[in-house]
Amino acid sequence: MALVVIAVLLQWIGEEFPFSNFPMYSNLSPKSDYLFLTNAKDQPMGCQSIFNLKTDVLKKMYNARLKELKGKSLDAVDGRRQAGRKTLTDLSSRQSEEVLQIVGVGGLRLYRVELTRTRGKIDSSTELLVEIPPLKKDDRGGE
Amino acid sequence: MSQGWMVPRFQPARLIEFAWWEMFFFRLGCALLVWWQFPSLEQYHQMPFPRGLGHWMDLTFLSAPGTDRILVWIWLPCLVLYVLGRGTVFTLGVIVAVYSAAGSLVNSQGATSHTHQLLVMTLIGQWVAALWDFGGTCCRGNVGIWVDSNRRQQAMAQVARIVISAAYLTCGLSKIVATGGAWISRTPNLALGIMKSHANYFYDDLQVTNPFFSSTVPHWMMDHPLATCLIFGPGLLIELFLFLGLLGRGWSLVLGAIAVVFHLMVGLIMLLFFTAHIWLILLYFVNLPYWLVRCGGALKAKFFVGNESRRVVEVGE
Repeated sequence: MALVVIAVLLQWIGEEFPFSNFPMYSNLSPKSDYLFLTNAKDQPMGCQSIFNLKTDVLKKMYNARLKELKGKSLDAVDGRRQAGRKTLTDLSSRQSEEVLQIVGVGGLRLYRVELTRTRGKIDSSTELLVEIPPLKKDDRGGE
Repeated sequence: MSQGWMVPRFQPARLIEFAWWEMFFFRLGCALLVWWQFPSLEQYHQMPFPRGLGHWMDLTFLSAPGTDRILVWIWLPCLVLYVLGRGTVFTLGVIVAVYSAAGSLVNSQGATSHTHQLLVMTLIGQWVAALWDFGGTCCRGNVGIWVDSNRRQQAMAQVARIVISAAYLTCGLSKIVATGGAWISRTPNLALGIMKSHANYFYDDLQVTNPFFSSTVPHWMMDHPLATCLIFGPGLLIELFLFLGLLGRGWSLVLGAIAVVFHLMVGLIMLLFFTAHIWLILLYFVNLPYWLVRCGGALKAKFFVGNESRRVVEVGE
């Protein structure tokens, strides 16, 4: 009895820490996507090693911002780009000077890859969501 | 030969009576898990998407420099007392409050992680059980707040097991609700999840993952959707029926072991490691110390007591 009551309560409460209805991989959609970061030369940057943030957490942050924009009348591409810009802004706001320096020198690009299952095959497409260009030498303090 | 220790006994719907040392191991395991899994908070200076306790209070003070050291001095003694079964009504309350606040801060960044919930819920369940028992003893005029009686410890262990089972049940129910009952037939789409997980892993630290799991397996799943349903579908059944482990020690061992293997497979294929979940199941369901002691006792009885009785017979002759 207690088991059923707790299970139903968890379903009802949903995602409110410390409670959860554990919805991971509950809706197995034929579409999925992930994000990744590169510098301005399209060389991949380790999200965890540089920004101390796992890539899947970056994606969840992006999803939350995308959800916020849902009410606004934006087309899908603009919505994704705005959410991407907001995610990078929030990510930058919690970085140390050292990391910001790396971004300033090399620039930063946020890409999104969409995986789709169509007729028993997996298709993938990549789009650039947002880019922070490298700062000019003068802006970096004349290095 | 007595088959008592070789074949797990399946006791119908009866609460297991745990020995004091089993419950000690449960608490020790939980305390070590809390110590190990407690999140680092220094990078969370804002709460853009409040969750849990974050709805009611600003928790960013937890990320202030030096706060983690203060927190350790508050809750380390509480963890020690909890392991020793002393003052759980108070000490576990402190641990639950601190961990809930820390977890709420982590999950208020717009990204929900599922690393900590099961552990904190298990602690909450134990705390509620301790409070309940404390209320009962107060009503009987026997206030026992300092030493946790055997009865209180039993209640805490039982409720922890129920909470873990309920969490798995609700995880399975979420899958059924989200897909209208069609989750198993959609398991071929897990191939996308596997590719995504490996890509995430790569872009974390630029470490290349095993191409067998990142590419060969997903494409095999696309080519063999029915076999995929048969292989991955039982994962849902494990989540839905883990609660049968509450029926007795044998059920607990078998279903616990299956759930651990399930998590290890998920870790291997999808690179998703639910460490706290695995350890909680090992502690409360597989319960290795019990089986080791039982097997040891049975072996001792078989060889030593057997020799003793043979010697008695020989002397008698």
